[in-house]
Order: sequence, then C-alpha cells, then structure tokens
Amino acid sequence: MSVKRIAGIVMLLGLVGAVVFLLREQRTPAGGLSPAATPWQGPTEAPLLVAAPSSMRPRVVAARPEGERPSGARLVAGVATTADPLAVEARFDTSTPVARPADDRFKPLAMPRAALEDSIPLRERQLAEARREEVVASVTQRAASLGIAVPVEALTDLLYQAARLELRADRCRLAQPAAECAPLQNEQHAVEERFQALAGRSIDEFRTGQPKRETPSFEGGDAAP
Amino acid sequence: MSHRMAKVLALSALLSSIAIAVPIREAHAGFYGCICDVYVYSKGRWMNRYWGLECNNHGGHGVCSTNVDSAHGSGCGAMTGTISLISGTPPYVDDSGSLGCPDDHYTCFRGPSACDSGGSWGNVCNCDTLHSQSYNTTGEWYFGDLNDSAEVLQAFGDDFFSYGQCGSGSVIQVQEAIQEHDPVCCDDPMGTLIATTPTANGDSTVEIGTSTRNCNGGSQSGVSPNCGTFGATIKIRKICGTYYFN
Repeated sequence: MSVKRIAGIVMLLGLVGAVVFLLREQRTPAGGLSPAATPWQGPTEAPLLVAAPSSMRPRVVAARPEGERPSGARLVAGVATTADPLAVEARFDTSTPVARPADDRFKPLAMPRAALEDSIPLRERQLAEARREEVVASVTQRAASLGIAVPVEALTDLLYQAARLELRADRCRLAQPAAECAPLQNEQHAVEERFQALAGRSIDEFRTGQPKRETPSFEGGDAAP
Repeated sequence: MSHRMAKVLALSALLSSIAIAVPIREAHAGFYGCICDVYVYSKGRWMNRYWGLECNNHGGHGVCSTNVDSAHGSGCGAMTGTISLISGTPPYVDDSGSLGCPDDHYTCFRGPSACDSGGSWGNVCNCDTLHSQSYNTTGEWYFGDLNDSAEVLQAFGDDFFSYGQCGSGSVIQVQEAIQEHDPVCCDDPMGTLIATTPTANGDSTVEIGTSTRNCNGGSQSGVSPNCGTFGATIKIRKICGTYYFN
C-alpha cells in the first residue's frame, strides 16, 4: 500500500470519527438525554465557575444558595435517610426519553401524623355506615361510565376489601415501623391485582373515574410573574 | 514523493482532523440544565356554597339546581386528591412527579370546619334546604361560603430537572386535582388547581392565587350561575441552580 493511500485513510478516519462524535452528542427533541450524556454526578457546592468547557464532569454555573439544600440526604416522611446513588442514576436513565417517574422524589415533607391519626376513627365509622346497596349503585354507575361490563357485585367486594385494607395499613403505619406492615401491603397488592384483572383498570382509576395519565403535560392556569 | 514526506503528510492530516473535531465538539458536547428543589404550600383555601359533595351518596339529584335529597348525607366532608409537579419548557416535560394525598383532612385541601374531626368542609351538601343552617359556620350543613387560611406544607420535590439555564424559559408547574373521597366508591372530582412559575437561579418564593369551577349540575355541583367554585393560594418555594452537563 502506498504512503499516499495510508495518509488518505488516516485523514478519512479522523473526519468520520468527528462526525460520529457529533451525532452521538445531539439532544433528543422530546426532551430526553442523548446516549452519550454523562449522568449527573450530584451538584458540587463550588462557587460560580466560568472555566472553559473542557472538563468532562458537570459543574456549577450558578451555585445554589446555602441552607436548605438536602445534600447527600433526603427526607422521607420526616426522617432523613441516605440518598440512594442508584436512584440518582435512574433519574438520568437514557432509555427513558420523557417524564421520568419521580414519585419517590415528590412526597409530603413530613407525614401529618396527628391528622392521619384523627381521621382514622371517622373513616372507620364512614366505612361501617356505608350502605352496600348505595355503594353498588355508585359502582354500577361508575362501571357504566367507564364502559366496564363485569359483575358489579364482584367489583364491590374488592372495593370493600381495598378500603378495609387501606385503613388497616394506615393504622399499622402509625403503630409500628413500616417494615412490620409489609404483609398488609402484600394483601393490598393482591387485591389490586385481582381488581385490575377483573376490571382492566386500577382501583384508583375506577374510584376517581379518571384514567391515570402516564405522560403528564403542562396545563393552562394561573402563572406567577 | 519521498517516504519521509509522505509520513509528514499523514501526520499533519491526522492533526488537522483533530483540530477540526475538537472545536466542534466543544460547541456541541454538553448542555445546561436547571435543577430545583421545590416546596409546595397551600393556603387561603375557599369553597363556595354550590357544592353537593357528600350528599346522598353523591348520586344525580340536580344539586343546587333544584334541591337535594339529603338521605344519608353527612353535610360535611373532607377532600383528597393528587398533587403533581412538572418541570420543563412547555410543552416539553423534562421531569415530573405526583403524590396521592392521604385521607388525612390536611394535605390536599384542608377545610375550616369542625365536623368530621376537623379539617373538613361543612358546606358540601348545603343545597339541602331541609337541613341547611346559617348560624354555625364550623358545623355541618352550613349554608354559606367557607374559607380556611391555615398554611399547609403539602409536599417537597427533590431535584427537579429542566433543560436549559434557569430563567431561560423553563417553568415549574403545580397541579392539584381535588376530589371528595368516598370510603368505598366512588370519588367526586371537583377540579384541578394549577400554578406555574418560571425557574430562576437562587432561592425564591411565589404565591399564586388559583381557582376552578364545576357546573356539571349532576352529582357534584349546581349549574350555571350556581357553579361550584373553589380555590386556593398555592405558594411555591424553589431553590434552583444552573448546571452544565458534559
């Protein structure tokens, strides 16, 4: 092979490499991260940094204020726990283009324990006072509006079971550590699965009459200046 | 061409390729992102008198349009619902999360009434003209409008992400879908309160008055002009920073 040809191939390879690199760096239009994007490593609390963009690590352009930043820890029901590094990675999972599930990061800052405690006797009373024939009438109406053609009695039974389990689970959580309530949670999941198999919808969707939105979207509304 | 000259040529070709690629890569390699911690509060909640929730198992009685059959109605009820937090540059959603409110008479839409162990709304079945009363503002079957000023810290959003620098078009939106919750089935949706605020570097707080109404005339509210209307001031504290991602 001649030296000229070798030089040509080297030049060609260099150009192809540059093109491939640029293509991998493109942002996806739907809002996802490109496969080449570096997962977020967690913010550093360094001050304003205006260095040339040569580092491969993310850096702070405008630092967060001191104070409330829950660095390295997150609050779950009022209890500080160590952040799960895998959870941080999962948020930037490049296989999920839009609307990463984030329920674990959006929660009550502290469970209003007293309020929940106070509400339980009332909820129990309401459940006890609920007349089955009236519940069946509501379930019939809701099933019809959702186009569900299955025996209403069976749906009603499962809804009663779910309501009782929900109360027992809340009582359990108030009385002992969450881990102790795992059997109740399993029972709840089993009822949920049976309902889903029967009605083709979750209990929550049926109760509210609204399909769960898999992809949230911005809505019009009141905006701050 | 000599052997040595060819080598020099090949090397210079390689270097020039790199010289072209590096500046282009510098221009396209990374992107900015705005990350915010968000605290969501609710205060100044109000509800007008034209709601028929918690009335006679909520079933089709032309609530507030005519009268309502109060059989088995409690004249008092607590609201639950779902709070959602979305960030991004509309219409693109870059991050989101939602929280189903517990039935605790507090988190989603706390009320001022003392009935139902407190935190509830005593005007939800006031269209029942047989039972409605105007003398006890915190009791059940109260005839008039109600409001609850207490500030409630509803939720905390940890590290919500938007593409671009903070303040360059991205927003944080809170959606509060409020409903009345039945012990077994089925819930009555009232409507969704929506508050939107632009992202901005630093720590800032906004208060946004928002309301919505329901004129369905069926199991929830009256028909126009007696629409069931409710609202609140949603307070959003956002602690944001712009980050560069390589």
